[in-house]
Amino acid sequence: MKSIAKFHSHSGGVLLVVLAVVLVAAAITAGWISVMTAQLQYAEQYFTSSKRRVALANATAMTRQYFLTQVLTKSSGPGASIDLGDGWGAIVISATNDTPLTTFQKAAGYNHFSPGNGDGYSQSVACAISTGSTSQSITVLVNSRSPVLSGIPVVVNSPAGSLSGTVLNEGASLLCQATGSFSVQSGSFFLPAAPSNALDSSSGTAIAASNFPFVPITGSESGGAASYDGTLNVIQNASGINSLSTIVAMSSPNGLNVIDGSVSFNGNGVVCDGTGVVTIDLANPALGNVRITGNVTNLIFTGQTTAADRIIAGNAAAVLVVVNQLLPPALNNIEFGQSNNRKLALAIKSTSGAAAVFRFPQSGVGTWRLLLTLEAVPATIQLTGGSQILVGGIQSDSAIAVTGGSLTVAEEPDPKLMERLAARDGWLEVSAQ
Amino acid sequence: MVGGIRAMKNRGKRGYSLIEVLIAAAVLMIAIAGAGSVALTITTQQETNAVIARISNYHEQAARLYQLGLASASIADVLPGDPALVSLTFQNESLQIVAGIGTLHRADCVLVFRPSAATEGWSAGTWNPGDFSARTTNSMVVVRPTIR
Repeated sequence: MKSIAKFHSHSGGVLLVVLAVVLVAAAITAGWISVMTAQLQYAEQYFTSSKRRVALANATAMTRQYFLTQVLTKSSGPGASIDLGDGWGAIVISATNDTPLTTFQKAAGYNHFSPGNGDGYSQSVACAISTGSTSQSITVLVNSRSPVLSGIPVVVNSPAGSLSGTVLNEGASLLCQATGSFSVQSGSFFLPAAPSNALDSSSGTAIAASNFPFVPITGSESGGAASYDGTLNVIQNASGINSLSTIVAMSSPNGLNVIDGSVSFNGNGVVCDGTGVVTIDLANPALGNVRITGNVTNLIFTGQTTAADRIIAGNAAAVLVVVNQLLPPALNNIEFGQSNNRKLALAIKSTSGAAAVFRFPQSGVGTWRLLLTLEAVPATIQLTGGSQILVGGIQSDSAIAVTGGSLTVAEEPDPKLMERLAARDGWLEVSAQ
Repeated sequence: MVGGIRAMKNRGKRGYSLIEVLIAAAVLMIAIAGAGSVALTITTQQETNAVIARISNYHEQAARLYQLGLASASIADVLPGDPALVSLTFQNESLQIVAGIGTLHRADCVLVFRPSAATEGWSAGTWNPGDFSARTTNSMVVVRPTIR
């Protein structure tokens, strides 16, 4: 009887052991399946999270275009709430009540590694970008500064900008040319230190300029709309925003002299003989801004003859001279006599496309303090041997040829005093709140 | 006498019947077969998870390159290839008028991929039986500014 009982006890034992092993294995497998299921669910969410990030980037693109079209070149904006639909991007923009391209505000959080070379003007606007279901608060800084006064003394804009002859640029240079329907691409920008003039994809297509940390853009407008394709329209544009013709009337303590080349004028350092010859005396402390509305063929600037006069001129009020030569005759002769230490900004706009000659009759080494802006004015800078130093800068959308010597372009040493006489470029910076 | 008692004791201690062992072996075989099947499924699942992780990242990068301004025809050239990728296309490229903003470039970034090389498939967020020829399509709407 005893042996039979033992037999039954052992026969149940082997099944129990097997079942225990199976139970443990099943528990391990169940845990494994649970972990793998969680991993699967995690993987399934990859597309969902990708969609959200792409939707946020869509909303950022919408925000960017909104600011370029509705804020940057405007004096105010009502704000907006725009939804792309289907969860692919939505934005809410606060109202604005300032003009970014003329403001002298400096918003907190200004990025000192920006196109303004560490300085500039900035308007801060609170926004929200979302996927339609989740939202993120951001701040858009609408920044602006004159490129010529921020370390880029040579700026050549499209459509026909070029620079030839013996030119030494002591600062950076920016050459913009518009290409393609998608506006500015990196192939449009010539970086001073770059070995080639474009960054290409592996298929040879130019990569968009937004691969750069900041996209240099021209804060001007054409055809009634904002234009950021590298064109220059800052002397007399339709909106009057970022327009030197507007700035000239409001930025001088000595007032404004409005000159027509066919009408005689004599006063405040400006002489017009009524036959198209205008002389501007930069040594005259009473000289204010000058706006020439047309009919001028010869524009003559006289500087200072002695070192003492140059010191006095350096402390005198800055002068902005704007020439709108929109109808014939062409302004084809601009002369710079002696040397000049007066802060001078000269802007010339022509619609005829007639070439102009900028003459520096003095030989040897001369210095002219000059910030030159040319629209549709192909120019020849004619030197009389030696070398001429241009302290300020050149911005032009047409060809410039230097002949008869070498031209050195240097940065304006006191740019803050010239800021109110210069047109600006604008750019955007986006940061999370 | 003593030897006879010892023999009886030994007979009492060993004594698993053939049926008993066969039942235990059958249970073990069933468990091992089940574990093998689960292991195959999970291995396939892990592989598919890896494919989805790579492909979703690929898809997102393609969309971001479009948003950066790259020509749509160039985007596949810029991105590294993936064995699970069947095709990447930008469909319905157009200028979309958005009230308050103006015109935006818009496209459907459509990616077709092979979810698994094994006999399990993944589609529309759920596991489905499938084969190597199974294809899954995912689409994203991408926009970019027309001006900079």
